[in-house]
Amino acid sequence: MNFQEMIFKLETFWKRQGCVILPPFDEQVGAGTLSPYTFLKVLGKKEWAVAYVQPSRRPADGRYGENPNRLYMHHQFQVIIKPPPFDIQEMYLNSLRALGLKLARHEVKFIEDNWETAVLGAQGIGWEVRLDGLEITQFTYFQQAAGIELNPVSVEITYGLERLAMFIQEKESVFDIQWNEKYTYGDLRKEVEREECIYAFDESDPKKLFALFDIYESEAVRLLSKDLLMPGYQYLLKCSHTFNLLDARGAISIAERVQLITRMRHLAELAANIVLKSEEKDEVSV
Amino acid sequence: MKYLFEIYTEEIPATFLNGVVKDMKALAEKKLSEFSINFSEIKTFGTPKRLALFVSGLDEKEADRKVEIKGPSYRVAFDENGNPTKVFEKFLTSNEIDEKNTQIRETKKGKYVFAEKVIPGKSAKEIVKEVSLYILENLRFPKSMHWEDSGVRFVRPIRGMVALLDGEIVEFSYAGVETGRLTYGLRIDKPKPIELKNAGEYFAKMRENYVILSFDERRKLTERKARSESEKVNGKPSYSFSHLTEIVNLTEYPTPFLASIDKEAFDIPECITASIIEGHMKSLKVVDEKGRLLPYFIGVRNGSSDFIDVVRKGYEKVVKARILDGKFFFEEDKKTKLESLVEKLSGVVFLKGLGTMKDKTDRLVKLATEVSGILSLTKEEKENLVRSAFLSKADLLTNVVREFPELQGTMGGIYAKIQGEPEQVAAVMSEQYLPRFSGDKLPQTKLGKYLSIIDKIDTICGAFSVGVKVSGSKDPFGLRRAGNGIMQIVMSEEENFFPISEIIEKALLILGYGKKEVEEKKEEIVQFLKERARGILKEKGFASDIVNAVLSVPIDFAPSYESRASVLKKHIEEETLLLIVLSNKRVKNILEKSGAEFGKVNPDLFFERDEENLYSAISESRKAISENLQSGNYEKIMEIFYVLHPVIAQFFDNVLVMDEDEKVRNNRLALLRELKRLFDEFADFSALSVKKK
Repeated sequence: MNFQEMIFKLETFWKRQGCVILPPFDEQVGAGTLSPYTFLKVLGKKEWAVAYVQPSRRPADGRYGENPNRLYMHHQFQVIIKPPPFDIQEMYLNSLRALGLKLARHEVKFIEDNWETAVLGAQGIGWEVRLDGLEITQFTYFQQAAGIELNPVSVEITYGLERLAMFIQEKESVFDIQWNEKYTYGDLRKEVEREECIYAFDESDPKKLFALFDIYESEAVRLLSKDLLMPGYQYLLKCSHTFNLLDARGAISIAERVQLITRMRHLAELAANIVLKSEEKDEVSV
Repeated sequence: MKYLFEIYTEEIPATFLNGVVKDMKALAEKKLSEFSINFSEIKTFGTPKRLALFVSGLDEKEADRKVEIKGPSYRVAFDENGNPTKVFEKFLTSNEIDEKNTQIRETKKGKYVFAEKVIPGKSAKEIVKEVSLYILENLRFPKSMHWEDSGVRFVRPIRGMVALLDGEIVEFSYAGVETGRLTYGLRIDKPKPIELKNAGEYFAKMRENYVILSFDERRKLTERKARSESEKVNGKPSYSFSHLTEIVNLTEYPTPFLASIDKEAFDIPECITASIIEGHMKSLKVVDEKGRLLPYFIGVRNGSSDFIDVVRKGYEKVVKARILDGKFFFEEDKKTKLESLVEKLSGVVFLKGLGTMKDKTDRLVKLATEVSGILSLTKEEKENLVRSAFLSKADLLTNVVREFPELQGTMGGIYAKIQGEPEQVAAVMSEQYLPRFSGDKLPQTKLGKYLSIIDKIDTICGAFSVGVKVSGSKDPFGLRRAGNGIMQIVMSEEENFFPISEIIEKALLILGYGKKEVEEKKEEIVQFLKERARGILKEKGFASDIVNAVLSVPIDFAPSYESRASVLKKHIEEETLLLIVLSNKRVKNILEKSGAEFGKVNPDLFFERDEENLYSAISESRKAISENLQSGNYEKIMEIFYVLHPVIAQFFDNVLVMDEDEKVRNNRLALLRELKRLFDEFADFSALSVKKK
């Protein structure tokens, strides 16, 4: 099964479970969790079910397209359901079956793995899912976001699409994955990987990036204080990506790191408050 | 009757499963004991997918209990004609008592009505329901979560519950789940549903469906098969018990299998490969007869051996990718001199408020220099200790340690060796974090011990100086472990003296404390370390009173704590020791009560012969005791005390300490203080509790 076919299969599968299928959110993010489809939706009481592909950029993980397993940008397939269905674990395993995996021939292990994202004040409890020893998915019950205890909780399922594809297609290098019948992953992505890494590691200008961070932050504050949620939140995402670029460049000292994270966390809280406030209003009007 | 209670969950973390199973048993025992119902055995089990309680030989109900109820007084219950009043009637009806079960008895306050009432015992069904709910509500986990709207916290989501008393369902619900008779076997493709007819068939049904409930059985199976698989390549599996426990608890039905490591990938330091096999792959290392790593490992599949080749291939591929990654990092690291990384440690935080790892390095270098003086190291030793301290934290910035944090120190040692640092420096660096846990091996080299000690002392002194508090389960910076490490090393030193308090003092001065504050802080840290020593001694099986007696000795004598405790333990039953303890307690009381200020003993103020005798006996013993303390001959010291004892007894028989004349009295108190000090050189005997025979 080629890469794009996998995506279609997962989309079809989760569509049938009642998820809305959205195109990837068009901002640079480090993980699907930062997408407003996740972070802004796990807050509050309203039900939510979504699935989307999320290209995720982690500059520090880039290797100029020369390492068979590490990428500047990889693709996550993200599922968020609030509240979690009772049989969610079985549902997830069904999605693997939908990808053509015969689970009786393999080993699926759920190994404890909890995560925390300081920037978002988010915390989840769950597992990494291993397929014959290979980590293919993070399966997490969100417990907190923006420092707020969530009720109801959401389940977050994050598939690492490249890993899964390498497994299914039995490839040793990510660049050998068949994207469709005609193109490999390498055909489509390798040169971009190289360019992005040259920028992140060699060409980026920390001074300019710091200046951008300040501008993005002030825009975020300005917009969020006017309750303009999405425009403000997008500037937070720009801050976050800028931070990741600076980090990859090794340009952030410890004192700065703590400070920058605190500043972003503040923005996340402003955004979270808008979400919760508007939900309260809805409740009152009902 | 048999009762089965199974909580079917999403995967429970492997590292704390056994603890949960043990707690579950304790909770069941506690709750069941509140009822007067007979049962023969309580067992609990856990796999990643379920927690199970099994009670066998359970009676059908509690025994009925007879209780006596005190009713109204006779005067109120009966009128002057002896006829029952309304009060009496009310007493009978509200307590559901028959009149024939009442009687009138005389009490101190006059005649009263008493009634005997039979309280019927609860049925087994009611009881096991209470027990089960009690377990659900009271099990605690190192980390718990919520997942639905009832507000319940549990280790992981509960997805099913079986509660069967013999063949009957015990109905209740928790966290939105109702009890029933349906459970599941091992998830092979899909988990197979199993309808249990009764509690008794649980074990057989589970077994048929590839679930081994007992941890020990899974463990033994894993160990046996891991051994036979390793033999195929003339190796044997190598693991710690805690690692094995984790791996076993990732399975309901473990099937160990041999997998190989690509030869090309294998060419990196063993410790990296070992970290990948254990930490990442949750597998077992395979070693040769000399303990060297072989290019194989044992994976443990959760499931049967069907299609095991597919699983093996998957594991081998993942290991290869991970090792190649590690190799890349290792090759990169080799290009960078540790020395050049030291400056960059200013970018790594040590502790909040305590600056960076570079600051810590600077302190360690100073402390290493001081310690070299205190311990009179040779010039070469001093140079090597200081050099090791200087380089000790540089490996935190290497790629391999970033990827495998547990290899800190070990990698530093390897890079130091490659980069031509003295052999001794490399060895010391690799030992600096030992012991990593209680029972771990200690540093082997002398300088390794010293670096390990000063590193930990700096951490503790630093953390205390910024107000970190260790309490209960709170120990965010691992200070207890650091303290344990220090005391494990110090208490195993051959010499019976180690100047730990002086080293603490220097560490505090280096942290910038003024002379005055140092004393105060030092005392706090010494107490903290003594508590660690207490733990170590107790773990070695010494009773609390012996530990207390020994810990009164200054911490610099810590290397001799255990020997002293052993001698006391050996003598604790002796009659003479009992008397010595009693006289020590007596002396202590007298000194505490007197509250007087007095100077040194003045022999001119002796009036009784027994005073003089005691005085000269103390003086004679003092020299012998100090010699034997130096040579560590503690048996001999006990002998001296035994010889001293009759003199003390004579003194107490014939001399009145609290003489009317203040001068005489104070002189006698001073003499007793001398006596107490003499004993205290060895241990505080007054802390011992000796039971009279």
